[in-house]
Amino acid sequence: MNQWLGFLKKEWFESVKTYKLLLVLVIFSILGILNPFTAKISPVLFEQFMPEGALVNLPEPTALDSWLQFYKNVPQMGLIVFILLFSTLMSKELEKGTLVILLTKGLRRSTVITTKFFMALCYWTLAITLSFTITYAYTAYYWDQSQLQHLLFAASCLYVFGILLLAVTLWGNTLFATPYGGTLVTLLVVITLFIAAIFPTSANWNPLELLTATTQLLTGELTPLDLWGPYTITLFAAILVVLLTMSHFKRKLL
Amino acid sequence: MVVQINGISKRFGDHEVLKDIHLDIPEHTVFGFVGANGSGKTTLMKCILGLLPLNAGSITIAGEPVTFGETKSNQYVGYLPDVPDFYPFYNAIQYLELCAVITNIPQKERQRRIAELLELVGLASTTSLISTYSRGMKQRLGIAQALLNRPKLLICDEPTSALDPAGRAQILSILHKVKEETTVFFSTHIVSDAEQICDHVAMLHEGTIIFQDELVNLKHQITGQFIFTFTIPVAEAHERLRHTPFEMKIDSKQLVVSLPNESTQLAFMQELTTQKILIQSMHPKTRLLEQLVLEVLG
Repeated sequence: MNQWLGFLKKEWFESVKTYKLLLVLVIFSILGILNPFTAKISPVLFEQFMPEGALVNLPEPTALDSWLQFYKNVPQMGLIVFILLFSTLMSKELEKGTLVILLTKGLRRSTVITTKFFMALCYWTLAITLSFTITYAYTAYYWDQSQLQHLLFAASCLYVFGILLLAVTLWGNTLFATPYGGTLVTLLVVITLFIAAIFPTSANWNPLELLTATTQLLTGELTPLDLWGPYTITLFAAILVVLLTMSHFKRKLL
Repeated sequence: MVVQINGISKRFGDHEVLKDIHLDIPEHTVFGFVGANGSGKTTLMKCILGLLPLNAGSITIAGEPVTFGETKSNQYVGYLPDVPDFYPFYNAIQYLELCAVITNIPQKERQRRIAELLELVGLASTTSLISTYSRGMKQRLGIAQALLNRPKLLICDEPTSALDPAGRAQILSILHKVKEETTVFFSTHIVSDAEQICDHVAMLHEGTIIFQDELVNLKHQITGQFIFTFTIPVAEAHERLRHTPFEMKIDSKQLVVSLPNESTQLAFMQELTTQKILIQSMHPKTRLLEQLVLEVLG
């Protein structure tokens, strides 16, 4: 346990010194502010860009618009930046050889994987919580949110999907031990999920469903029970990928 | 023996990098492992550390068998890679503290041990971040981290190859000093480094051990020649001995005389007495390790 905490402390120290903490705080705070702000000014912007004299009947923005921005911006911008920030967790150490010294001192290979994954998970939790809280507070200031359904569950869908992508990134990065390995593998997995989504039956298991079903969740057209398949499969897949990464790293030649 | 290597082989695809290697490393010695680049030195070291699986044979360290991956034998080992890299955001103390946690050194002992080692490697007064360290400083920090858990075996892969002469001298002096505490196994392609501090030397060439012996035995393969200096200039001594039957020549202000057996040696001494030439120094001309290595390399 001492070893695990010791290496986790190093991971934390490194993330602070390499500005990961600062970047996550800044990016996800901006996203949190941007969501309700974009929803609020969208009608004004539309009016500005319409030809003079054109009559457009734009509906007043609501809390739902603000949250739709959240579920568009956080996975599209936030998650991508997040994955890029954490895409070299293993390759950097393997390339430089910093890990080899510690491994020959008895550092367990599983400790390396679990601490790195845990640290990334903590950051992802911080990122989602921060962005969610700011969006919630800012939206509550402008609009009534009482009509929205399953707000927390919908956010947890995005959170769980992010965990899966983090696990896949770490696996790819360990497998190829190059800076782009993790990102490339993640990209391939996402493309595969998009291709699978063409088939309607995939909605029962496809993790991508967790991102695409958020509008229906918020409007009450879907309930959490409707997403139990993709939800549990995504969580299960994330755990499986982490175990696979540990097993792969145990056999890796250094 | 602290390390016993019994007939190990290592292949990468079709290429056999190590071929039936047998090697015993005695305790409290400095064991130099020489060989050209690409001869398999680093591969052998990685096999000893359990970082690579073997194709045949076995290795034990302090009686503990080495296995691939998380090997228990590493509790007896300290390792310094050829180009060590450390976390640049730490200073030396912070880095050694991390290593101490990983090697389970009791908290009470940590500070004292870290201070002791930083003193040994000459980094005690350095508080700056590792990112500002020179290559020599990194090598010295590398030795400190490798010695942290008082290993029975210190493995150093080419510790001097990338250093300037001053840096090399520092590292060699540290390695020589730590012999009392541990056994040093270090690889190098700089033969003079091995010659300077080793008790035992082995040479690896194309995956095979060509020779291994105590350095003293390897060096003292007398060629039948003796080197003399005298209280008078060497040219004058040469002139006075010219008429004698001994084969001799002047080499770097010394007289090199061929005296292949005891009778010629005694005869030459008598001649010197007759000529009243006083000897200042005299020693057998030895075969330098470098010559031996060059002979192997062709």
